[in-house]
Amino acid sequence: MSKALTIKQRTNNTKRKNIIAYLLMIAPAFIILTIFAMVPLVMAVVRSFQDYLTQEVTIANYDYIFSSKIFKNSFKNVLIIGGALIILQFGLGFLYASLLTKLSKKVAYIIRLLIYVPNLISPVLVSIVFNLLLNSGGGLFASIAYSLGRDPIHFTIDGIWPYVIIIGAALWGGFGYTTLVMYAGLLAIPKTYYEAADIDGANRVQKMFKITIPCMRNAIILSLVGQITGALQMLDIPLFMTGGGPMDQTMTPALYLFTLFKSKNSMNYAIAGSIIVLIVIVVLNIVAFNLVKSKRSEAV
Amino acid sequence: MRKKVYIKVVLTVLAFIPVIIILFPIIWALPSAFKGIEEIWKLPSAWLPAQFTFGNFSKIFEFDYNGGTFLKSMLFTTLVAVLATLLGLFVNINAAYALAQENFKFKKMIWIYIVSAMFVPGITIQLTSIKVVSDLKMIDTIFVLIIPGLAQSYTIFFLRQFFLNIPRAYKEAAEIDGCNNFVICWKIYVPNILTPIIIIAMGMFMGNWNSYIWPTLTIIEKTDSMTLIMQMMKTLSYYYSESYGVVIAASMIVMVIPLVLYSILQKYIMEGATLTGLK
Repeated sequence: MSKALTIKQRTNNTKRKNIIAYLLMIAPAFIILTIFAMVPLVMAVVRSFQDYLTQEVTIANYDYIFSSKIFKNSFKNVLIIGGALIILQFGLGFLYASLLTKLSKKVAYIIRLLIYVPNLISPVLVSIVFNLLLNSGGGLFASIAYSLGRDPIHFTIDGIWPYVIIIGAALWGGFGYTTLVMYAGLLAIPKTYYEAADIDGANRVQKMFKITIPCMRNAIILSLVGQITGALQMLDIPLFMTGGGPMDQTMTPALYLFTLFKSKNSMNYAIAGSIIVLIVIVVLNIVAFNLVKSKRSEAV
Repeated sequence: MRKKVYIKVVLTVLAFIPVIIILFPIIWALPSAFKGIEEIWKLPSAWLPAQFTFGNFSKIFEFDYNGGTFLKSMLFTTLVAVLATLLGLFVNINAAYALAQENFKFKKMIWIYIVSAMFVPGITIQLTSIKVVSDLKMIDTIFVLIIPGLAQSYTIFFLRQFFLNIPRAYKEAAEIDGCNNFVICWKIYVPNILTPIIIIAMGMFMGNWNSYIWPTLTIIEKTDSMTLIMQMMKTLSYYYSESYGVVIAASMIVMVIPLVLYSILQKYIMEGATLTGLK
């Protein structure tokens, strides 16, 4: 009897010890997140409802940001840039990943290694390197135009070109990673599915829509949300490629808010705008999470 | 059989076309680092310089922005990136381990709190974070570059998934041997998930190596502790018209370290993409 008690006490002791250890191990992360993410978040929410000068409670900041044409336009740009990236990254990444699965493992490895290289390069350097191609006063394309006796294209100003170079730079930076993820996803689909489909006489297109895409559903949903939230927060690529121009046309929400931060008078407008971006991101993630989850429970 | 080999060769050739397109901007830029002032923006421009010069490289190291030199910022950025990576691993691995263990009081609340920080976009807290770090007197110190970014919700979430897959028997055996949680975490759990940890470490190092916007907002007067990319931007604005070759040469140097790390860790990174894709 007394022995049983001591064992119980001992397990209780180790249990308590364990909990203390866990809390201590979590503490540094908890404290840092609190000070540098949660406290600033609360401060941001408070300031979004404050007048910059008088500190009085107001919704004027939200009024301003909702009536801002540039802010509205920046959301349109999210759809354009995000949409183009989804189609291009997905379409091209998917095709390319499928092609890689047909090659020998060694060749595919070398290719995967090489296409990932742009991921390692900072957007600042991307813009510096791209400038040698795009600069209208001596870049590669201007040289080609010159040799053909034509006027060079001003990529940061002319027509849809500012969009093209932003999307191009983002695609260049992200394509390798998307392909890698797709490739891994494709390899993870059991071969027996395809063999069964072959026996049933399914063709390529049927296999694609009935096996491949459903199997990669979750990966696809998560990267879709990733692309849209990425476009909402895209800051350095447009900053360095076009500066948001011409005439603020290629502003993304993050870049627009970043430029508003610079002037003291408009700071609280920017914070109100950033709260809206936060809300959009949270809603998108909740939707995606539920989509992914519902499919999982269905499968089980 | 012969037809099959033929198809494979065609596919392989086809597969290398995107590789060439992707690497082309870098390949095109590379020789410009060796071009003189008069050749860089010449129309039409040639790929290779007519006259090779190493002058651009020596100019990088000569440029001095109020005490901030390229060499200094390179050493400083290396120090920041290494410290931030090591401390970041310490902070996030400990938290991920503890959150992967049996339930305890407040665990669920702490977990939700930590994960919810994942959805807060940087832009929302950018301005108020600056207020926080300046209240803490961290502006213009090395701490401002290291500490605020140490804890990362996503990293904790990601590593926890891997810790959850480690059989409990490992821990129980170690407990009987008298190991405490900290030892179990670092001696038993960590070696079991080395690949994801290396990916995370590489990501942290790269993030610090390439960081630009946060440092420009928080390193204001101390020009001798600028990060590498900040120094690059100063070099860029100084040399832009005079010689873009200097800027290209500097870019090449900035790219070297990530590329070297990448070639050393390639196996893990390729494996890691597989892991992130499936989680």
